[in-house]
Amino acid sequence: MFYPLYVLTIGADTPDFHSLTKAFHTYGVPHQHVSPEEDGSVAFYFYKERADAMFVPTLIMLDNDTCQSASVLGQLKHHSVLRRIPVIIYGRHNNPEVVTLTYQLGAACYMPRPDNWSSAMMAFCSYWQKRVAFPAIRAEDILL
Amino acid sequence: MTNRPFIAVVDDDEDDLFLIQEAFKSCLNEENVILASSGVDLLLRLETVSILPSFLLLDLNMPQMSGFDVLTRLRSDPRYTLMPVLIFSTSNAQPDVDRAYELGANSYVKKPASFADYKSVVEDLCNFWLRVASTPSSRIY
Repeated sequence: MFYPLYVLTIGADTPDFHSLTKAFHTYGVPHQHVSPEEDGSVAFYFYKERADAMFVPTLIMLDNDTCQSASVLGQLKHHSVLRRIPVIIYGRHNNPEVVTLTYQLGAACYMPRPDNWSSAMMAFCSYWQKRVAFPAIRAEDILL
Repeated sequence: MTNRPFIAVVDDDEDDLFLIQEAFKSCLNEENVILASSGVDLLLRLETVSILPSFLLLDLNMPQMSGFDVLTRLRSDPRYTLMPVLIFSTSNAQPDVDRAYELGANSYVKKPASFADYKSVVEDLCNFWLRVASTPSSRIY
């Protein structure tokens, strides 16, 4: 039995983010959200023990247009356990420099922001929800 | 990023390799897959290509050079650090999953138990990695 998909999104509370959230709801993807304004986002999430036994993320999605992806990834990749969580960075750009930088930072994947999250969510879930096994992350291991 | 995508696959099982190849042919409507029967074979074949594969499907349980050994080699070589590596294994062991991510795998995909499921798994792989995601090598538009 593998760990299921639990998504932590990090990004500003924009209309696009609401579309993403709505798509998650439609496809039954458990998720929580951290705003980049919240005191260092990832640190805030784990310091405040919001990552409790009820919701430990197995996938993190960073909005490259509204948060400091390099900084957040840096925090994650320097943590002995959090570094295992795959991170998807998404954003409006799709030029080679952005894509390459994303992978250099250690992200699992770069996704150009889709025009329609509902349409993209089918392919997203068919892969990440149906096919992928996630690392075992325990709440007690991940508090920063 | 408009190069024709190609995929690399490493698996020591000939039957699995054949099924994966057929599934990719069906999904991509063209034969654009590098098939390697071992980690050493893969490393030799990568020397001959000019762009990175869109992604690599990597079996874990192989003799001589395991999937973990291959992944470690790829992540320590600056030429291949950016190549998405998707572990493709029948192993249900959580320590294998954890170790794969620890070593830098981009994701861990469960190898199907039945032959009939190969095509749908490969379709899901292609739909996400070639049509939704962008990789440093190539992408279908």
